[in-house]
Amino acid sequence: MVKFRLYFDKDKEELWLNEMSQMGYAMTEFFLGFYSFEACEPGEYFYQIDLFTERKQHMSHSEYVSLICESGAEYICRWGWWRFFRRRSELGDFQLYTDVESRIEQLQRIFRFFRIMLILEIIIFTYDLVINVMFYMDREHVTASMSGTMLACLMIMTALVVGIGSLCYRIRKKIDRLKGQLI
Amino acid sequence: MTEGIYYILLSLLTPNHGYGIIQSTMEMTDGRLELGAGTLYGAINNLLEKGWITLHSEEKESRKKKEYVITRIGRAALEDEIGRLTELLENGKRLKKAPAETERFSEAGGEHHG
Repeated sequence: MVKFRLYFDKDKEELWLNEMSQMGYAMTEFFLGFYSFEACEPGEYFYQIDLFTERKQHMSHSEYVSLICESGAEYICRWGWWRFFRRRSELGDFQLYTDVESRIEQLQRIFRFFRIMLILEIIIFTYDLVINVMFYMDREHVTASMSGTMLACLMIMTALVVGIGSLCYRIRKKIDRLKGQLI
Repeated sequence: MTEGIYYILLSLLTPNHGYGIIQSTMEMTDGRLELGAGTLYGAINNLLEKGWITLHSEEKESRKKKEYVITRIGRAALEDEIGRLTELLENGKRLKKAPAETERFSEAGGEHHG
């Protein structure tokens, strides 16, 4: 079975994958928003997603993946900087991060990642906007279809900037909430 | 120092590899604390950065897993922490043993409300 979903928030994505596992569908592959599932025992697996960005680490990412696998989990697939893992629920709850401090570190890494995305989006958006305005000023170049495409681009860019912006805000909120637990 | 870092340092008093740290922490805590792989990964990187632990063996050819071991600085930090925890525990036990004061207070409080 294949399902299409667009998730920006990995916590919600994990929740959904775990719900699917509860219903007897185990995720096995991911490509561009398409999740492949195969039948499993209801609740057979717990899923975890992690972001691998830092390069200058003493312990390499491949060592990290083998550490996760040694603790009884399996590596399912990667998507860009994201990695999907699952572990059989009979081995107990599956959490990659087991204390508040390391959960905060993970969220901060995710926050920095989306902040770079946001800055890139804003640069592209501004560039797009300037080009669009220039075409309108110089009317000779305007054809109906061209401005239509441009407008569609602008609308998609606006949606992305707003979407990623609000995601960054939500991650910050989550970090603040966790920091409150430390006191 | 988090309890995770504390148990990682205890596990590395003798050379140990990543999953070995998770296992010995589980044993020490009777299965209460299962360190998440992500938590351990971050902690090992931080501790190596600080020089509290170091690489003990890296035999690339024999496919042996990397082993880590505590350093002199790490041992000093661990001893400081044990001293701090001992003080916490002793103070807690000592003050908990003198409940007379607090009981009288709560009784007085109860009367006041009644």
